[in-house]
Amino acid sequence: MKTSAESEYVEFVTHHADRLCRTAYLLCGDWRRAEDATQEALIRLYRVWPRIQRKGGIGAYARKVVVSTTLDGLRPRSSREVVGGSTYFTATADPDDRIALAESRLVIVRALAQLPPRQRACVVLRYFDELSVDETAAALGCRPGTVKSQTTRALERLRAELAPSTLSDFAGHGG
Amino acid sequence: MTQDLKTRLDEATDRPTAFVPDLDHLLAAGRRRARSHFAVTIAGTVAAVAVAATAGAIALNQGGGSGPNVLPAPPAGQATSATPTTTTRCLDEAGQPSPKGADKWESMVTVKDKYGSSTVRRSAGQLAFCSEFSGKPTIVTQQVMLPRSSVWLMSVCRTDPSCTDIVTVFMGRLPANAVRVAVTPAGGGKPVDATTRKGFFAYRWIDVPDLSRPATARIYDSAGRELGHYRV
Repeated sequence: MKTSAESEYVEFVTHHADRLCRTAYLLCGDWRRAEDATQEALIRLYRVWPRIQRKGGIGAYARKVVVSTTLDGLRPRSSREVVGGSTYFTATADPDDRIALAESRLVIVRALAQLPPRQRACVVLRYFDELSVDETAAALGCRPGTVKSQTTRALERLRAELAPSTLSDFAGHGG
Repeated sequence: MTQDLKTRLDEATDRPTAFVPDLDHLLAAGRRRARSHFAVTIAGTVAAVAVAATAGAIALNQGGGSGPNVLPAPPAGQATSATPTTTTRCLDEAGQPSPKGADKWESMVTVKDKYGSSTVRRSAGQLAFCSEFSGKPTIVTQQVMLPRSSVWLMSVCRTDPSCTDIVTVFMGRLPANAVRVAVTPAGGGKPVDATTRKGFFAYRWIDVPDLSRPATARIYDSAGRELGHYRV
């Protein structure tokens, strides 16, 4: 890679790595895994950087790689490893103490953990990264209609999970 | 209406320290990954072509599977020592026949042996990979498209009656930063530098293809670092 292109890559990483890592965290619920996934995604990005630079849409491509790397990391590597599900997500609060949970920032993460990975990705990309339906579909490699339906289902489940909290008004807006 | 959810998501990702990747590690890993991807792509592509080329060569060598493998006898009255016809074939970077007159384009690099010559030619941004040889070109003509480079295997049957050896032509555009291509023909031996000129390289050799002992071409930059290699 040329020096100028490499400098731009470094600049991109410096400014976007943290945000990409946060997206990864919401997808996997573990900071260490999120950092590993982000780092892996950035290495993959390096290899295709000159081509992506020419085509444009670096941010969207980087986010797409982070999502796929993170979701790949959630797949069990062997029949003995169990990942995903609520037990996978880090939680410091006592799960029986609903008041403590409601007050904890982890409550949303725990709720996300109940969602299937695709639905979780739809919610994170739509409402954390504030992507449009089309942009989310591009990042996930699926149709916009799928994003809408997955998001609607995800919001319904989140509302059920978070019923005692104040998140009662965001269900039913998958589109 | 979804602002509350966004706020919750933002809060959930709040932490005192931002994620700052180790840039040195990232760049080193990226470069290493790019190099290995380059080498794997080249090796895979060339290996596939080598199998095809060798299979074709064997098919030609067997001449249909029966009888001694010799060229047809010349017509009665024709001297056997007559000078064979010289043929030139030019193909473009996509493996298609080059436009008429491509064999007259500016020569970038050329290599010769007693059976003919091979030349990379250029005109108005177009490249032509031309091989000139005595006799008729065989069907064993393959091209390998590579990232930032193009390697050709233009194998032709020798014009002598035994028809056992293959002339292999290895030519293309040098990848960025590459200054040297060292070729070790099939069967081993000392590496020989391909001819390089004006950003292109070419090398011809004659042997019997042997997949168990592949030819290798290693590409180096000016500091002597290997940028990638081909195995044919």
